[in-house]
Amino acid sequence: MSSVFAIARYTIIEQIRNRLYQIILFFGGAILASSLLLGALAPGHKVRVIFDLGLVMLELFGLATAVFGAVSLVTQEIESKTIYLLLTRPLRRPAYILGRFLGLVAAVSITMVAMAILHVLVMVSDRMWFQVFTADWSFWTVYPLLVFMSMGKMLITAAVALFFSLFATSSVSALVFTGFFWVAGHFGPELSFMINKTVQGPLRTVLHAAAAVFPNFQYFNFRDMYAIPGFPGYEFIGWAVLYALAYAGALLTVSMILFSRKEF
Amino acid sequence: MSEAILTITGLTKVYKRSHLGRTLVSRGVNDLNVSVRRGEVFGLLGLNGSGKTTTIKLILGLLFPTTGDIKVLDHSVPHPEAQKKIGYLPEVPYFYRNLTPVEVLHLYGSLSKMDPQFLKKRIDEVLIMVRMDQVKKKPMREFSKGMLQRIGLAQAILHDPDLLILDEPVTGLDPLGIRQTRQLIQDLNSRGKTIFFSSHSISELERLAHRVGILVDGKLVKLLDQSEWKEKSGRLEELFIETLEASGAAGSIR
Repeated sequence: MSSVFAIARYTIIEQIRNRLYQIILFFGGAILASSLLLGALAPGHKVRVIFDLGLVMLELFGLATAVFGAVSLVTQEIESKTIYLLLTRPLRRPAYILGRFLGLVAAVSITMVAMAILHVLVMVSDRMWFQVFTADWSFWTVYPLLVFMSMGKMLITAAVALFFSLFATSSVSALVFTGFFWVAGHFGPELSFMINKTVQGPLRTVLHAAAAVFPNFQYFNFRDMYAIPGFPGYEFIGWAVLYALAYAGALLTVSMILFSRKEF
Repeated sequence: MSEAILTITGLTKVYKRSHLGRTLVSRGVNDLNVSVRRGEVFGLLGLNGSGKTTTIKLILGLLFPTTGDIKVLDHSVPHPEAQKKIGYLPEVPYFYRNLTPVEVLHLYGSLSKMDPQFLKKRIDEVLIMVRMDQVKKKPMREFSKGMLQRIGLAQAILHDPDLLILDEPVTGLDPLGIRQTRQLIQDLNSRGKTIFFSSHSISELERLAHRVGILVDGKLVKLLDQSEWKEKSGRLEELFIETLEASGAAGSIR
């Protein structure tokens, strides 16, 4: 395990010092801070705009960290042959994958927590958290849960980004494939609808295969659900956590098997 | 005769590449048999594409053999125990641009399972050896190629390996860098380290190697001992050209 932690530790350090990461963090912060201005443009909906925009930004910049982190570190490490110096050490290849994954998830978490703190500060500065929440859920309960659920998405996204960074032929293709999975992952309900409406045949098989391969980010959509009366909050969260761990675990296992056979 | 530290037996690497529905087959290394003795400097000489780098990658476990076996001190590679005994310097070492030499060496030392307290001391030692102690806390994106090569050497010797594998260690270095690298190789060898290196530089091989293997199209066609060239400067080059002519490979360099 010491090898895994060594790889993870230096993944975080390398990522935090990466100019691209710093730019992502800066822009994320700037957009969050400017949401006060955007809120002012929507009189009567200021609170909703600032709240929703902040959460979207949190996810988008988390995604950017995961994708650019995986690509700038892993794909370029393979392209530049820096990876040779790691793999010629007594390091098992699965440990390399696990270390990179944990480092990547930690870097994404740092981004999201930093942005969440800024977002909360923006809301608290105007005492607007009073206005967003239901009688059942307080701001201080729901907000951490919302960030936590977004992190579940990021766990999956980091595993997808790592997978494509390891096996795509270039940085661009790794970016494109990860982006495609991210978008497809948001069409889970539509995919289920199409499966239900399609009669038996090859198309239905293809749709089933797509539903199995693409992640279903609908499971993390706590934001749109918690206000529904009778919504099973913690049960919903429990299943989402299990799903994230299972999907990321399965993808990491496939990555480890393929990477163990990869020649350089 | 001293024990073999590296033994390559019947090593063949076949590459298969699919292109437009056709499978192209080529041999990177072809039935290679060689044994490197503990404490010697063994040089691998050959034209571009002769299989030098493929051989090194096979020893390091970056490629997997099609047939044959490689043993480092009785461990078939890739094996963690074998990897602990090997230090490797690639032709052009690249490092993490935002890390410092101390951090990079700490990472590699941790992966080599070095004791954390000893590792700290050892990092300072090797940075002094390669004359990079003055810049040990600078990010490596600021380093020149020669400086990166020295950090490459530092990481290769960090864990005090028994066998050093150097892929074109002097390529791209300025005369001073070549001289320092040569001195370091000689110094390491005088302390009992075995060096296995590939090079295009016949003069370096002539100065450093105890034995030289000539590779042609992935096949070891000649194994020369130092006694065959040390009498006369430039003799190794003559022997190399003679070997290429005899094997029909000289046409490509005319």
